[in-house]
Amino acid sequence: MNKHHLAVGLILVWVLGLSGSAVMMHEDTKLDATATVTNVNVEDEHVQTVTVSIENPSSDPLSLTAQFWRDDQFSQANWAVVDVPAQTTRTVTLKRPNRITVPCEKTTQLQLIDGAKRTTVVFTPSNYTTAC
Amino acid sequence: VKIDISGDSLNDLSANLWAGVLAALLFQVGFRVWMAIDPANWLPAIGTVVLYGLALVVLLIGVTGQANAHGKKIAWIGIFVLGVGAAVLLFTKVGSSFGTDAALFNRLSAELVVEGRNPYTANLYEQHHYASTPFPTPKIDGGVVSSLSYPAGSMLLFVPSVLLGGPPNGMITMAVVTLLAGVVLVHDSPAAVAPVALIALLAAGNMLFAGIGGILDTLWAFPLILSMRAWRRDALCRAALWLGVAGAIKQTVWFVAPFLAIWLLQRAPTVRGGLQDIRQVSIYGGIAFLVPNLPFMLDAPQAWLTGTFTPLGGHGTLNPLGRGLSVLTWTGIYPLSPQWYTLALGSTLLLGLALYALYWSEETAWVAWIAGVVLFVHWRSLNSYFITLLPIAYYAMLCQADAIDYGYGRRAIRYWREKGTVDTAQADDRSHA
Repeated sequence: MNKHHLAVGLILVWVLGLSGSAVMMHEDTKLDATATVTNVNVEDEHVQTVTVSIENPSSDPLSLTAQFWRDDQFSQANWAVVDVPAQTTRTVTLKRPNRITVPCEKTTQLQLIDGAKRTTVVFTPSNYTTAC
Repeated sequence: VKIDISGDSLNDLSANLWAGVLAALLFQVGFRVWMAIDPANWLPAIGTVVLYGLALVVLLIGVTGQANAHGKKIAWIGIFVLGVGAAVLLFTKVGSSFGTDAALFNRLSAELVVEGRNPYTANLYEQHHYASTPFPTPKIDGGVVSSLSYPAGSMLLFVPSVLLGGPPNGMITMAVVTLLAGVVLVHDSPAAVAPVALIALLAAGNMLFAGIGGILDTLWAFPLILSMRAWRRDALCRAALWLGVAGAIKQTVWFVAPFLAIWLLQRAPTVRGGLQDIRQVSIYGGIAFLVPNLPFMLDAPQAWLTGTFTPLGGHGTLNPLGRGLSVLTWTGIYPLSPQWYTLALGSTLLLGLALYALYWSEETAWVAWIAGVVLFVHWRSLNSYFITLLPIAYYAMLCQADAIDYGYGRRAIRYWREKGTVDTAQADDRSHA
């Protein structure tokens, strides 16, 4: 066996190993909750509050971290922790955190995270209640 | 039709094309500056004129076939313009706004060091006294990173700025280090390709302005380039010192070490000789790493370890982020567990080491680039990790082609030495005649 065979063998083992483990270590990170943005308030060309309705159909309560993302992923920042009891729909208004400015022309996302699980709501300026 | 281009004309064409690419880049930067034109501020207007004018001059040099002869001058002018741009930015934008939490943490840590305190044991957001707060680094549990997450060298570079009363956000430090990196790249480039040094610094992202804005990767890239420079000259101890300095600034550099160990083993005539070289390099590199870090390691070992390993061991604690395989997870397309990323990182490193040992271990400079490949499979693979590889890759290419121009001073010495040899030989010839 020459070194080329050895190299090809190593690469094959690596590809197969990572692919196989990717199948086994795939995580179902879909959060069993439905979130709908019902209101986005814009002032001074920046998003100030987002009202979101969160439905938790499961029999377990949820303690969610609401995390805001701008279309530039570096701009992610935490908002708040939202508790949603089991089989309940809760509407909460999330204020803009102090550490982030949210220009209203940006397409934005709200991620609701419970441990490794998350659900994402995307909202664009066309959804905003107040004009940009 | 067969096109026959000889080596010289291909060389000329290549240099002229690079001048064209640089001109395109200057047009692009000029366009961005033009977008910022404001009648109340004359700087963008002047900047636009300078950048478009310079682009036309560079293009003219290219189309008239002069780039091979004038490539170095073009690159030096480019560095000068960058320096002026940085100076203008520093004079007009000096303030206490921080582009990244890394820049803020380095500043606050440097302030704590000046006060005689250990920044690794502090919650840096509690020390925060500036008006501007950058975007934090979020954690999966909903919190944010609030402690120093780099080796101590990174923040110690900002201590002079604290002592001298420089701008809090470290703009001057970053501008100086990035410009020095540019100077070394241009200085060591042969004229035909010197404009590429600027392209490497500017094309994928303006590293100077990004540095001023809080992206700190040039801090480790610069000593790494100096290490490659020394390595190419077989100056092992000096190379190890610079590598230790780079590793004392950011963890990315640590991935390079095992590759260099293989190189040292394989280049030595005996295994024993290779091990001796590794020992020597480890001592010099270790000293350079430990000098800035040891006081903090001894003072609070657990805090230093926790802080320094936060980015490396971020699988599962920090939010996934980046351009590499973590895209699968953070977009939700095919989420993979944090453990998978740990496995991918380790196995990719091992595969890389095996392939390096099998094929490429006679060359050393390019391995400085390897961290980018490894980080591609990391839980967090930020854009800056990859952009920073461009100047490093450019320098590695120069090393690979044995094309490093060691400079005006060295050329002058060589010239006089050769002249002396020729004169002596001619004198000998005459005496024999």
